[in-house]
Amino acid sequence: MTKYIIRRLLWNIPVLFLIAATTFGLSRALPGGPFDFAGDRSLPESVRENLKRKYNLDAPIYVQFADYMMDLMRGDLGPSFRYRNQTVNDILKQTFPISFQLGILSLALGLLIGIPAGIIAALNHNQWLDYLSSFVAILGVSIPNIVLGPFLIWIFAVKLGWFPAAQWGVDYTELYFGFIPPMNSDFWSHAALPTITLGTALSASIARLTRASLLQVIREDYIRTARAKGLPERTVIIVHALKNSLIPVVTILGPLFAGVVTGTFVVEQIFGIPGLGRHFVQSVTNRDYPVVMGTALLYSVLLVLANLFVDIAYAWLDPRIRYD
Amino acid sequence: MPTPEQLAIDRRAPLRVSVWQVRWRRFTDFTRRYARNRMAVIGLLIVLTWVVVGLFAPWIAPYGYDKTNYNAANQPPSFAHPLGTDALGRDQFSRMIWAARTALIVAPTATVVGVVLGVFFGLLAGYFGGWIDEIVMRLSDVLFAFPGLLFALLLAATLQPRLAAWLSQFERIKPWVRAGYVEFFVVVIALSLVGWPGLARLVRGQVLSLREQQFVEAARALGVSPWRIMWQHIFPNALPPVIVALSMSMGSAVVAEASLSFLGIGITPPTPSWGAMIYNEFASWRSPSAPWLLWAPGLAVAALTFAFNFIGDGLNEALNPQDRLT
Repeated sequence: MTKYIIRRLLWNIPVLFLIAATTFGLSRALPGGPFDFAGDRSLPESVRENLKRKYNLDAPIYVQFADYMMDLMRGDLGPSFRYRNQTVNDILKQTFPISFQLGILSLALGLLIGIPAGIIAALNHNQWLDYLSSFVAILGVSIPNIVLGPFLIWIFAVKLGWFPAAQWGVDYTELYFGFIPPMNSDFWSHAALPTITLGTALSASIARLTRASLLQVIREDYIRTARAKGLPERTVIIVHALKNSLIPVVTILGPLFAGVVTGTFVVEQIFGIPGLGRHFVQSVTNRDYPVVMGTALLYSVLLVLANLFVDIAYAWLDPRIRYD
Repeated sequence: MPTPEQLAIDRRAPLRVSVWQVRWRRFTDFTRRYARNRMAVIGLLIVLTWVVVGLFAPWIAPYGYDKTNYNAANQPPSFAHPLGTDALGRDQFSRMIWAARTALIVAPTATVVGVVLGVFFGLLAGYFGGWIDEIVMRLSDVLFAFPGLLFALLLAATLQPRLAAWLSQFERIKPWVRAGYVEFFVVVIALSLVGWPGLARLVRGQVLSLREQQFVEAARALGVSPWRIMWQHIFPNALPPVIVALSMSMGSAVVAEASLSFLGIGITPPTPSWGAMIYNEFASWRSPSAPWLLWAPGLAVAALTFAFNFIGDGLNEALNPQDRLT
């Protein structure tokens, strides 16, 4: 197992290198440069040349890439071209925790609603409760964030005025250890709508999977054995069926995590949340190469780790699975 | 030991059914099972309606999608403008109809390209194994570690202007470039590149189990070429989950196109796209002056996604009857 983990971690180095190279190439291929301001703000040619020299943008692209990779080894993601006083590390430090909070909250909401809903549907198989929850689940899977988000804002922020329509409740300076937000009402009221927006689709797909998986497990021989032993139904379901039925749910947590990352891009844009996703979209339009690179790399590392974690959890939950 | 004559008779009498009769029978069985799922039928109807609307957009839409009329800007719904007009005085109803065309060109094309790539690489990797498998799987590893929308965003942002500039040199293509078809093309490429690895893995898994089955062994023993085994023996059997995935990913492609356009990077104005329309009218959600401008494209995206997902559900039940219980 340890060997497997080490091998996976080592394999991820070339993967991340390829991603770095692709992102680097793609971001440099963006037409226009970071210092091409339009209209009144446009810079004279000489200033632009100097700026380019300062950030080493006049060097051949492979030299730039080599320099970037050397800096990366030291954990330095370089300066931002747009925000003159900030490095990419600063920007990530300020914006990523917000996206992270949003992601974790949505994932938690997805699991908290999805798993019980799936179990209830499976236990009431082919009864109205099952049909209802399956129908709601497929609706939930289908409703896109860009539709649900504005819809929630319309009802709960504009019409009812229960929640703020935009922004995030806490500033990065208020975070404990730079990550954990103070659990005050400001935080929760701002987090509510975005979390629901992002968490609905998650809970729906988790519910569908839990239901399907539990239905399959219930028909297994060992469940029949447990029932034949005269165990109460509650014990059969909770002790024998549930744990095994959650294995497939664990396996899709990796792809779900990727979905959450993608979702934060859109949801942050809808709710005007100053997180990393929103910053990334802006950086693409601003041609702020180092921020684009830094974001892509950070998310890739996270995804790679999430997938690894899922595979390990899989083996731990199902002793029949052996990696070697 | 029967004589050859007896064998001939036995062979002839009871089984005079042509291949096409069998296929027809299978098809009617399939449609009957599909029709049992009412939501799937409704989904199919919704999609067909949008297809018709998109196909006949120039005849159905009362106005052009880019026809501005500043004297009639920001109007509420009326007989002349069933869904009102936007800030530029463009008829929202007509733009909705034209946007159906965008959605139904981009999403299915992106999905089909992605599925073709996925099936091709999945078959190759699963059937031949070895270094081909290694390369395909590692490539999909890389794409999996890259958040899809992030990659699509970067790809669309870099490809689009360059391609448009390059194509504009050709006089004949120029009007197409100006009409925004390059954006369609770029979004299709971006989405299909992001979409194929998942399908490739699905197909590969299917092939790995099918490859070991006896009918494949029999074909191999008869000296059928690998290529033919792959396409004629393995591929049809690996198809059902692919068809279900195809329908499901159409739904997500509709959302992905709308999301990219919502972020301002996919289909850009004046070409109408539901996602871009939602983004355009977004301010009015916060200061509710013209909510109908937002309801319409929002509902359209949602309806189309529902429809594709319900179709996927129906296909799943119809194609895998043994899974019906789960």
